[in-house]
Amino acid sequence: MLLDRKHKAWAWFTVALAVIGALAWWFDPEASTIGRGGSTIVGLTLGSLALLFMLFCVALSLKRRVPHWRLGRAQAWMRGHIWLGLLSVWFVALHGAFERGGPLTTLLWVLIALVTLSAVFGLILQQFVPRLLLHSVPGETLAQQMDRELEWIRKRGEEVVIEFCGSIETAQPSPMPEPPTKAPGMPPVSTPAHFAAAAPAPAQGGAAAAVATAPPPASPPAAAPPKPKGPPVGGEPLRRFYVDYARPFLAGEYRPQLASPGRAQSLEAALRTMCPAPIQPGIDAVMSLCDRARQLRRQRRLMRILFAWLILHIPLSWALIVLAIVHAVFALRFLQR
Amino acid sequence: MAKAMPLAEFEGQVMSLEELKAVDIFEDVKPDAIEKYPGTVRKRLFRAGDVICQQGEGGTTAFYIVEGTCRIFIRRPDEMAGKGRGLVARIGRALGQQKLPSTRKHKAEAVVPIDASVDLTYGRLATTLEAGNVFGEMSCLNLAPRSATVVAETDCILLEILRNMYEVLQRSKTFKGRMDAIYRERVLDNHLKNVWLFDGLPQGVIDDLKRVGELLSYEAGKQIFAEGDAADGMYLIRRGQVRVSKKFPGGERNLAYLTRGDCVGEIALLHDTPRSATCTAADHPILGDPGRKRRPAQVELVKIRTEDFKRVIAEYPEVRSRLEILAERRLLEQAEARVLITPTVYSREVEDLGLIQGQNLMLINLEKCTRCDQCAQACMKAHDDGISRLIREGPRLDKYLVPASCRMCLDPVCMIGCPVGSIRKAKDLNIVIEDWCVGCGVCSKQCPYNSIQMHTLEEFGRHVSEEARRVAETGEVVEVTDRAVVCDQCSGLPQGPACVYACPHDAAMRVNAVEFLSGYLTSPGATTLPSFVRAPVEAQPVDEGT
Repeated sequence: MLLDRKHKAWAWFTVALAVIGALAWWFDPEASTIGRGGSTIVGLTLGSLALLFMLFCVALSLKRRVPHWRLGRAQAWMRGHIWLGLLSVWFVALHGAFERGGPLTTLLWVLIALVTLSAVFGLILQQFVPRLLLHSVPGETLAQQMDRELEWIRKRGEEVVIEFCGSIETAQPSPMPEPPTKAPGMPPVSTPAHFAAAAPAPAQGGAAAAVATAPPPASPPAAAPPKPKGPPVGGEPLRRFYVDYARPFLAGEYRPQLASPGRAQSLEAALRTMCPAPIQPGIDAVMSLCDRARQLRRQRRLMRILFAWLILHIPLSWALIVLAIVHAVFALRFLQR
Repeated sequence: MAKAMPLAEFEGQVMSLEELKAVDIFEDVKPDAIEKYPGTVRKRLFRAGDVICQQGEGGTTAFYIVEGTCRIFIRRPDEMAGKGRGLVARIGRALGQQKLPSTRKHKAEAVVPIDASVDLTYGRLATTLEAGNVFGEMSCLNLAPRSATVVAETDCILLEILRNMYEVLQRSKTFKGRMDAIYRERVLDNHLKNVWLFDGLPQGVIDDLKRVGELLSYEAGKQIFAEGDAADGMYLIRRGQVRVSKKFPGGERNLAYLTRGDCVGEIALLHDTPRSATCTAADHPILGDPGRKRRPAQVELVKIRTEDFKRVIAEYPEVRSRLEILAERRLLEQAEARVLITPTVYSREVEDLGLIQGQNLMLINLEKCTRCDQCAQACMKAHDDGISRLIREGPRLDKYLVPASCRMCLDPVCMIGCPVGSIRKAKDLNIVIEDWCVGCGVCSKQCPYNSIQMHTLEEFGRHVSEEARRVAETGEVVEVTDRAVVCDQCSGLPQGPACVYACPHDAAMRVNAVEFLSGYLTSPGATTLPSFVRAPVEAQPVDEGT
């Protein structure tokens, strides 16, 4: 939950209760006779309040099972969960007079520390991970849909390459000669050698970039050749790029060249210089699929980070509440004697 | 689902000119008009029990019953299954926690309009069609999905007619006269009783109104009356759709689409006030083949003039005072349901996303949302069918996600083309889908924002009725398999929309888009949208059509 101005009232309420608790503990009339701690009325009251707050915190997970029940707005519950949970730690400390105690209370302290730390860690994550998701994954999807979408992207990648290159596994004979490695007037590009070797070159020895980006020369309409059937020529670099980089990347393998948007862009620029104009839409499509897959994986990573702390927080909270009740029962029995 | 039936399925014996002239409805049709469209009428023979057409499927033809009787009905799953009967649900009920019913109950006499010369009532979704009746007219003329299932009750002879010949028939006086007579005799009575103003009036008044009602026809696109016109009576929709629109400083906005059985301008019968909105005869969406050329559809109305109404009512003084109380109450209700309309033009982005359509737009602040899915879970659990009306996916506007969930559009285009009029606008402006939905999916396709989902009935966890099960086992007819589901804004829950109520991170909200955008644009954090939005203007209360 984002800590914003709406928490102000809760924060003041918590601070006020914390101060009241501390004052009551400090001026505890029984402190001089039996010492500070859980045995005094004040200590017992603080301990009971801490247990009540913990029960309230645990009740949130039950409330989430019936989110439509009219038990108060979920955000009020969440604010209470955060602030009363924090307050309970302070009250427990006062109740125990800042001492470790016996084995059970030591275990309780360990659990409280772990639960609190995991909660604080989770709260910190919630301050920035949603924003990271918002800005770095513009094409965010439902978590349940991610696998299905990645599978679709993989299939679509195959279709695109077949459409533009004819076949994925076999090389397409290119009628064009070898390209220069650097286009005149263009910055040098780091072209991976093994797919650069298959790249076509401009028909009259001009810049590869010119072939890639310039519009086709104007010709009289009567002389326009009939539209050829099948994939356009010159798709071999795209095919090699797909087989060596994009396909493994889309299948989930790590490919540093595509894992970061910056490196992917430079690779794309290199690829573009080696392919003629009819292949450019194919490059657009493959790169866009890679980008989508990158975003989805990033979303998955961020969501794992966002929820990972709950793996620790929830079971430990339940363990804490059970042990706290056990502690309370034993302590009350002891007091009765 | 709603696909146009291919012409190859247009089976049966082709009728010659002589054979057609022997059929009474073709008596006064000119031979050259018949010969112009050869093969467009076929004679079909059905044995008792044969299924002629099924609700929800596509169709391009109308049927005229020459001999025999047919049973026409809509199937409705009518029992709730185990959902909501678990321990948690029981505890919830014991604690007074509510779940929203997936269907609303109506009076048994409420009209369920179908594509036939008669209508059905909510209490009994079946009736018999004798010789001389027509069904499938809207499928033929507008490619609307079949609105009901028709089964031959006895051995039948039917004429199956394609659109061009049906249009010829519509110009025939004999055919039109017969259809008008059937309408007055069997349908108008129910339609009148369905009008809130006439609800519970003595049968004598209804009979008199039936007598004075004037049957009118408008070509799609033609204005029935304009805003500001002097009111001269009310209109009852007999066939087709009527668009209700209103002028606002920012332009004209469509407010509703009304269908068979609905009425417009009823308050004018009691109050001599000018029309507060414009009503136009609307065409149906062309399903399946958008490139297909066709003539505009005809919208048929029944007009009851104010003077005729007053003359009839003068004979029943006790009725008049009751009607005046009812009219006052209705005006008050409308005043409460005021519509805010924007006076100005928004950015292209806002227009493209259709945000200004949203009178109750759902937004999720993605800076706060932890993607915990509690909103969708709450929606699912708040409804007794266990289906979430909210899909947490959609376009983004700055830091807000606009999820797929009904936004209560100002222009509810989803209402256009429902073959059984089961999608309606409730008093509180919510879109509701009644339980006689036949699952054709037209509304789902019409909604530009993917806010209406089609769900199979298994997901509703319903049992089919005994009769329906028997029918399904014998293979006589196909059950309703799908149902359209739309967000009802949880209007029955005192805590408001469950999605917002259950969001633990203060991320989900329901807003009036105009108010929200105006406030948002003037806030210091606004970054994306241009700031040429002026303050919204509050519109006058709108009586649908008067």
